[in-house]
Amino acid sequence: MNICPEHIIDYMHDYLDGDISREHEQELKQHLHSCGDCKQLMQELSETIAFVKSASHITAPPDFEAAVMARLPKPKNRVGMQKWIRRHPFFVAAAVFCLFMSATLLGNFMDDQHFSVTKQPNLVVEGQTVIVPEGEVVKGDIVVKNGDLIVEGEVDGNVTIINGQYMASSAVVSGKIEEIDEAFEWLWYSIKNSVKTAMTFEEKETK
Amino acid sequence: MYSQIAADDQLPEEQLEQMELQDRIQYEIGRLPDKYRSVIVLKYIEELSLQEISEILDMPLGTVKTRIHRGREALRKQLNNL
Repeated sequence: MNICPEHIIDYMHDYLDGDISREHEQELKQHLHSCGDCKQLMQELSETIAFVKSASHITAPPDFEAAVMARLPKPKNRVGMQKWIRRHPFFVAAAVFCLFMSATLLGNFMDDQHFSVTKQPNLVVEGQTVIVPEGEVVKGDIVVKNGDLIVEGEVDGNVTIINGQYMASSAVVSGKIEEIDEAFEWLWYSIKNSVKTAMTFEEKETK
Repeated sequence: MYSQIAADDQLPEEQLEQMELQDRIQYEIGRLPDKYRSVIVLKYIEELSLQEISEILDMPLGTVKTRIHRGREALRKQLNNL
C-alpha cells in the first residue's frame, strides 16, 4: 500500500463523493484490479459508508426545540424598539414633531398662568378683574389673561378673554368677543394667532 | 385463529439486532471529531449534496470535501479497530 500513488486514494474519495472524471475512474479501476491492498481499502470505505447510511434518521427529542428556545436569553427590549423605529421612520418623525409642538404650546399655556391685560389708557384694573368704566370708550383690542372682564362702557375693537369670565350688562363691543378656557382651545387660539400675525406681517411687507 | 397467522413484523431478535446496530452507528459517529461528524451526518444521514453542505456550514466546497474524506477515513479506522 505504501508504494501506491497518493492520488489513487484521492480518486477513491472522489469516486465515493460521486464527482470523479472518466479518466480518473478508469485509472482507479485498473489500479484496484492490480492492487489487493487498495482494493481492500476501497471495500472498507464503501462498507463504512453503507454502515453509516444504514442508520435510521437521527432525530432530536421532540421537545428539543422548545427546550433550546426556553434556554436562550431573552432579546433586549431596546433592540425591538430600535427595529420598530428603523422600520417606521415616518411615524417617528411625526411623533417627535407632535411631541415638541405640544410641549412648546403647552409650555406657553402653563407659563401664562399669571394675570395680564392689554394696556389701554382708560381701563380700570381691580385685583384680577378688568373694568371698562361707564361712559368710557376703549379704542383698540382688549386681551385679558387669567382674569375677568366687566364691560360697562364701550369697546371699539375685539375682546379676548383667556381663562376668565366675560361679564357685560349693557356693553357695546364693536368687534368679536372670544372666551378661551380649555387647553385645546388655547392651542387652537395660539395657532390661529401665529398664522394671523404671519399673514399681517406679509401684508405689511407687500404694502 | 388470527394469533396463529404469521406476522410480517421483524422477529424480536432481529429488532434487537437492529437497535444494537443503530446504537453502534450513533456511538461511532459520536466518537468522530466535531468537524468531521457534522459533514458526515449531513452527507450520509441527512443526504445533502456537497454544495448544500458548503452553504449550510458556510465553508468552501474544498473544505467540505477534505473533511468528508478525512471523516470517512477516521470512521473506517474506528470500525477496523473493533
